[in-house]
Amino acid sequence: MRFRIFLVISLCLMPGLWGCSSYCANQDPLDSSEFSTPPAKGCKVYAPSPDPAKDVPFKVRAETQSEDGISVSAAVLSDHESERIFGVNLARNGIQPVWLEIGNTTDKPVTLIYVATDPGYYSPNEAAYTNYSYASPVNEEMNEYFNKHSIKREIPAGGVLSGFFYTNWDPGIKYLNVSIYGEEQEKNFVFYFVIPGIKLDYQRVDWDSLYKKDEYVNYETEEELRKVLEAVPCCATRKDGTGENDALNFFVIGDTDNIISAFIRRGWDVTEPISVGSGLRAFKAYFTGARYRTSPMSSVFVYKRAQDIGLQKARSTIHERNHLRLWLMPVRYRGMDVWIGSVSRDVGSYFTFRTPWLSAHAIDPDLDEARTYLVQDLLFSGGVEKFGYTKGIRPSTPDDPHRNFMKQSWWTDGYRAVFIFGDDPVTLNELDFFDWEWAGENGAEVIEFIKAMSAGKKQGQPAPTPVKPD
Amino acid sequence: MQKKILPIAIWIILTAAAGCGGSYSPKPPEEVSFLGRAETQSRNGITITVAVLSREESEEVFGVDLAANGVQPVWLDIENNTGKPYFFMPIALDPDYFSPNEVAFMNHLKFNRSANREMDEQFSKYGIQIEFIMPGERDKGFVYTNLDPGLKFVNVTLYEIDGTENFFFYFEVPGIQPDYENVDFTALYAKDEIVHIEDEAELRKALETLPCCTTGSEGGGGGEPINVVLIGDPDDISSAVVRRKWDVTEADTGTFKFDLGKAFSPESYRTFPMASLYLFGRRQDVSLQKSRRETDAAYRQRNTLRLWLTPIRYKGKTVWAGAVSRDIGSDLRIRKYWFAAQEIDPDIDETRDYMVEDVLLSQNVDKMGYVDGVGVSASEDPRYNLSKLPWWSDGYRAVLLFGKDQITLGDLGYFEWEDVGAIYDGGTGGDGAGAADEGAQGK
Repeated sequence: MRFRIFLVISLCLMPGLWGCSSYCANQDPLDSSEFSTPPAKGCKVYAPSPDPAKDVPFKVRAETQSEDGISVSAAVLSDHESERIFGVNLARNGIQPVWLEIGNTTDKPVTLIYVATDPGYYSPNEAAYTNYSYASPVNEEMNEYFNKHSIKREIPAGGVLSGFFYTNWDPGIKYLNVSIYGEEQEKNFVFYFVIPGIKLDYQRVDWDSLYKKDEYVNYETEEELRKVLEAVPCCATRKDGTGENDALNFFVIGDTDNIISAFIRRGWDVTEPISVGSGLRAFKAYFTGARYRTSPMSSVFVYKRAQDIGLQKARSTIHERNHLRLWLMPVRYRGMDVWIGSVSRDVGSYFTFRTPWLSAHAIDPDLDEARTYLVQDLLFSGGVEKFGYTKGIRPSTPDDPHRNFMKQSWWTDGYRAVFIFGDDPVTLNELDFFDWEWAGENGAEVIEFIKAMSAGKKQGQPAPTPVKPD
Repeated sequence: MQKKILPIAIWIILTAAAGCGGSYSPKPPEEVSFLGRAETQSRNGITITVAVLSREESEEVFGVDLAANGVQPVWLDIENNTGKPYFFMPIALDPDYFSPNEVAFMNHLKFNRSANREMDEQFSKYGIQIEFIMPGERDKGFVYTNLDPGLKFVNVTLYEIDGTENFFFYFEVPGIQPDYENVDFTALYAKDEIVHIEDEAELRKALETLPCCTTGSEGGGGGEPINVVLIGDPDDISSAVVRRKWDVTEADTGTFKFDLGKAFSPESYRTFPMASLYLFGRRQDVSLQKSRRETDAAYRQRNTLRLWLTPIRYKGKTVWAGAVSRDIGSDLRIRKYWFAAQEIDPDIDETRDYMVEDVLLSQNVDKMGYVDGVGVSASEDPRYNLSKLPWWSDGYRAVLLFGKDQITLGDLGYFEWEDVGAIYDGGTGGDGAGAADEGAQGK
């Protein structure tokens, strides 16, 4: 009983004490001198970096692109760097400053379109306000600093502007589309930044030692490629190569940079390897139901090794996400890399004795649903040049499903999606198709249509109109 | 120690069992009335019917409360009477749509396997097939989307091998009471009060003479600037802002209601009531807001837009006076149920520019420009709103004319009024003026 009273009282006091301690810190300027860390929020001293570019070497990572007289340099600050520059922990409030330098050598002014670059961007006053402390005299200073170092919208003719743009925080790899508008034209400068300060699963892979140079087999024709892809085993295995685990239900072919950037553009996040830190964060997210966009993934084995790259797209909680694993194959198609993939949809978590932590993610047993999601997502990414389906998995049904090592059932129509990525953006109407197989009940009809269309294209005619079924 | 564990174990079992008492009894969709609100569009041989289910309707159809998990089913019926196969892509409708089994899993009962299996089958059966719709075929069923309160924008994208077709719908979803429902728009102005304007110069004058700022409920100074003017049919305006993910605002009932589940759910933050500002002697007719959904600070960090219908009609279109500002947080760092100390971004032009960019990207704006009327103020000598919060402005208000067709940034027309230095305002160079002429001819 006494314990319960104590618990209630301490729970009630907690918010009060918490608020009070930060208030006390405000009152005593000497407090901050006891710590060697830079004085942060809650102290009377606001000490941001007087010259960010000199103090913090983020500019060495800056990338520059130019087109038609407009040049854009950009760099994304890591959480640590933004704290050093702005003197407050911006990442905690979901803010990630991006440094931009835009030069305009044309004779017309241009505009940086904030909303197209990040639809939920923070204004300088807002970014500063999120870090205000109660009745602190440094708030004004902070506000001024954020404004002074922000980039303005309009870049005059012949001018150069630089400064920070306050975007929403992204972990791992940041996709940045700097959208510039001037005189009836819109230009997009697209950047991908690996943000320092986070370990990623593919960084632990020693790419050179995966295969010897002479192990790679190159194929030039589509028929050869089809045969090779169909011969890939249906499923992942145990570490020793036995058993049937998750389905290997797609292939991505192309330059690896093009592949990964297409995923990042569509909002997929990279994955942290399993470690103490990432484990703790995942554990915390598991119980709070919070979002953890780069949460670690369990190892699944193909070629007797764990996935080379894991990617995921989280929905509102850690329990619901689409995730996929990629393994590099010892195969080249016209000199391009070929990857095997396995995609599935986590729909929630359940209690089990099969894992040491007594819970596991439930996957959507209708595995083709996740494949269909991936198909739409990648086709919209603008990176895919050619697309089709091939066979290779034994078809199964809800009444007679496959089972993975977690004894979860899954079923599929047996098709695998095949994507070829190009260097240049491809719009949907330029997309090409393999006339191999097509998933779905009316797959045969679709294939016929594709064949008729490509025959028409060869003769330089527009697509023929197929006969309407009665 | 063991004595303590036993009651806890019993308590856990009892709470768990409370979830399994239910059985699962959905209704066939034909018996539920949502099809009466469905809308249909036809173009080039494709016919699409769409309806968005309210919370009650989805509970009737699926037998479980889907809204509690943030799921909003959208009914689709796609008929393909063309000669080509079309592929329906729900990812364009909602990039984070739910799969049927996922929605079923969220609602699984604790110890009732057969009901759960039934539920899986039910959701899969009602889910729409995502595959090519062949010529002469028809595809219908539900897409399980993320819940949007109030107004929902539905974009049906069909892909055929030579390109895509887009159909845009927007719906008022029953279930919440938006503040504009309390306004009788026909009674705002008598017929002889309406000012009809056909000419651009006259329009400019009329817009410049609109009051500079909002007032208190009794009139008097100290408000926020009227810094945007929206012109267009109400439907075109709302479809544009809803497409850019602005949400409607619930009417403030004025009573202290504390519904814990509701107050802390993200959906209710998105439609959180807004304080009243006054113009023409009345509260805003329509309040819209765009909150930052990624954070838990959704209603403390949002852009707000208040609109008043003016007596002006430009070429038969309604003209709305608007005040847009950015809420950047509240003074007290706790969640609270009143609005007094909602801090705004004092650089109020920043928010106006946000609004302009955002609405232009909806591609529903035909023409834009700037007029005077707010009055210049600087950060050293700011003006104050009713909550004694400072703001400053260059004194211009943005004018946006909405149309029915898709207009890209390059085709945008301009009112050649004030040169604000913004690039969208073509007054700066010869080419820009040319664009303005083209825009005028396009009318």
